[in-house]
Amino acid sequence: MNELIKQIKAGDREAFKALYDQYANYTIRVATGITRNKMVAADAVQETFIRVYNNINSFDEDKPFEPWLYRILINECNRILKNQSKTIPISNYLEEHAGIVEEDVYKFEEYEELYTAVNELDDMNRIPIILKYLEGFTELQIADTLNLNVNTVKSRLFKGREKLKKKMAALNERRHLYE
Amino acid sequence: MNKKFDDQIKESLMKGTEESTKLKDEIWNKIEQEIDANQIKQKIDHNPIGGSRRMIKQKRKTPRIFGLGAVAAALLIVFLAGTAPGHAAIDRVRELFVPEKTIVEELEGMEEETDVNLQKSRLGYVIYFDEQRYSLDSLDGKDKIAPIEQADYVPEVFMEIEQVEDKDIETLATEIQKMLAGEYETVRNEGSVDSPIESIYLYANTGNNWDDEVVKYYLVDNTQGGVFVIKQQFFFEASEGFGVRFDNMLKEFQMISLEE
Repeated sequence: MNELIKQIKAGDREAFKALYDQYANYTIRVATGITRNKMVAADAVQETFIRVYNNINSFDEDKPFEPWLYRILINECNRILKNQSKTIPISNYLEEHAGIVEEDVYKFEEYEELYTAVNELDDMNRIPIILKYLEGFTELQIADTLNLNVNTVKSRLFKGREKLKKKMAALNERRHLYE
Repeated sequence: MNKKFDDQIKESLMKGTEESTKLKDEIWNKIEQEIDANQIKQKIDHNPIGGSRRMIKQKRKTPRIFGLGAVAAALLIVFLAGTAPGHAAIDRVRELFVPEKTIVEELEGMEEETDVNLQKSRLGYVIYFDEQRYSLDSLDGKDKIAPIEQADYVPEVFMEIEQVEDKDIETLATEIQKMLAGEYETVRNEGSVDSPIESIYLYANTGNNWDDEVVKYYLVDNTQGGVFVIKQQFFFEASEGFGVRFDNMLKEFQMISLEE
């Protein structure tokens, strides 16, 4: 990774493409998880990598790259969501992005309910869960990325999973009632 | 928590976000277009004769109150006479104006190296913070340093600095204490402190739950008959995080007087 960063700092566009290829899929997934919308996620990922490219000279190679990258990504997701909520009435946004609604209710059989349940969690539980399960971050990496205490991360993950279990249990119970 | 449920969460997230990954190439194309456009613009704006391989600086989304280039250009720097508390001594000039440096912060018992950047305010002080994490906005005579990333489910986190010119420090401390007493559950006037900055220190919070609001005021005598009022706000759980980072910024706070 450090070699790649050095090459990018030297202005090597191919190295930057290699970095993008390495992280694109997971940053897109994480951004989708956070924003709950793939087009917003695409914008956030685009802005994130442009910021990475423009600020790579200030990145300290002695530090891990991923928390830096994901801090920028989460910030971009929040910034875009905040700007949209301020400036674009949702009806206009949907008109301009025709097709999003249908695409975003993509069905995936039995896991749809659990994905919906994750999406319904509060950000404080949802984002650590997304980083843990999508990106495979350790609790320490999540703490570093979100600027939180590790014990806080552990607690939020635990509570998040508890809430998910309760939601799923309630859904199953309701389903059995109607069967 | 059993592993099966963990696996289910992972699988649901992977499947739920699978469709988005098809946008990978489209996103890359837009990234390349924007980088190319920025580089062409930079060449036209700054280097019309020959190109540079230097990485371009991103245009800031939040305006910096006083850019580093402008700091370097401020050649005539006249420090206030004497060695009044908080004022930069002449022998610290070079250190003070290092545009970037690395500091060691201790957070929750662990040491962490942080790269910080010089910020110079028109209010008459300099301070350092990590531009990757914080931004500074100046509005209505107040500077507000805030984390770039703010969660919406906790009280807003920021450090606000203003200069009150027509009140002495004791009067102001009494006024702020009264104001806090009307709004917060716990209010303490800790009196004079030396750290993180020589000041009068007031503390208040709305309670001891993790997300209860905490405010800290440091009142710094500006030695001109007025006071720098520095307000920090965060939430209880962030006392050892944002609270410590803000205090570390204040260790670098130096009053200056400039002639430009």
